[in-house]
Amino acid sequence: MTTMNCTSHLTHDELLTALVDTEDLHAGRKEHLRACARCSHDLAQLTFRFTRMGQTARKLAPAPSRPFRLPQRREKPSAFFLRPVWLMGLTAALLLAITIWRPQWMPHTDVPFRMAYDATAERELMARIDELVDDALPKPYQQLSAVNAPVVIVNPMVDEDLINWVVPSIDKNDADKAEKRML
Amino acid sequence: MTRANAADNTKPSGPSTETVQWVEQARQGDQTAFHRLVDRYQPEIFRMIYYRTRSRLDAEDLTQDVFLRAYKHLQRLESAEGFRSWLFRIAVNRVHDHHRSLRVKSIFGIVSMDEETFRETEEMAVAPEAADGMARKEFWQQVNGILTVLSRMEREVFMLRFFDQLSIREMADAMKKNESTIKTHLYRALAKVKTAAMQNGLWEAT
Repeated sequence: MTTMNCTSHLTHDELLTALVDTEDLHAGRKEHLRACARCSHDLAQLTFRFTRMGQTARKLAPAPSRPFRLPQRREKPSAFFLRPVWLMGLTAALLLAITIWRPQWMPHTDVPFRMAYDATAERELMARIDELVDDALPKPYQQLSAVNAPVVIVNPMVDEDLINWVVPSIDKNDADKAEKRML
Repeated sequence: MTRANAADNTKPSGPSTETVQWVEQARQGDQTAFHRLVDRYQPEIFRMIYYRTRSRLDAEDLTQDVFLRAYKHLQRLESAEGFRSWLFRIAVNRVHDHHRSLRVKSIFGIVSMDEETFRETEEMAVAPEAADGMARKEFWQQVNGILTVLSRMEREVFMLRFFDQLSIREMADAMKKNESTIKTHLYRALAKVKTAAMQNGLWEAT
């Protein structure tokens, strides 16, 4: 090693590059580093400073105190729990689809028709009840009930006088006629 | 420190043939071989998690979990040579999950995110040595001051490189990034850390 080419020592950046990987230096600079005692010393000192941080950290770090043990082999859980969840979900979806769409091969029950029949019978019954409410009495009694209803007897004369007395006519002739009739 | 050491930074040390053999045996269901792997890698995985959680109890739990997951998914490991970086990938993911869980819990007030108070109290319970505790506290305060200037990716890359001593290739495997991306982040992290360490006096102190 010599002190050749001392005018172009490695720069600060080149020293850092060399610290990362000396192979990343240009060929000429690499050659200089190999030959120059000062640059080699600078690089060694820089490397030492960084590595000493790691050495101090290792010196001050505690040692592991818990020995590693592999866990004991456990028994397999029952097959039900090993069944994938997506398979159970798929089965549920399939059952739901069959229930909703009801394929041809499935036996049809007549429950809906029976329910429709019952509804018709109920409507007929309600109509019959409504009729009985409207016409509660038999036909002969309905006539008698009509006779007892209040009768309005209309007497045209009294009626006209009463009206004139309550609401006098503004026509004078009419008023005179009414007075004469009263007398 | 020699130039040779500095140049070796990027090269993976490579697993021993013994390790590869144990990984192959563990993949075939040999629990003893897996326990041998645990004995070999547990300390560094524990430390890696401890650096990021700063809690011994959490580090213990998460380390157990990392190895349990490794055992469970050992068949997914592409090559036995990449076992170490694969373990670190699991650990990095578990630490991220842990931090995410803490953030969610802190939103609902279940845990406090006042990290210093929480960690110091816990440390006193498990490591009451005052001198060690003070040195540790002071060191991590300084490191925290530096790491806060880094982005999440830069911080992870920096810690994997200098705290966990992973090579560039192992870091790329552990973080599922290509090597040039890792190098870019590492370069930025080094520049920022150097400036911050000069300012807060960490390099003079340690």
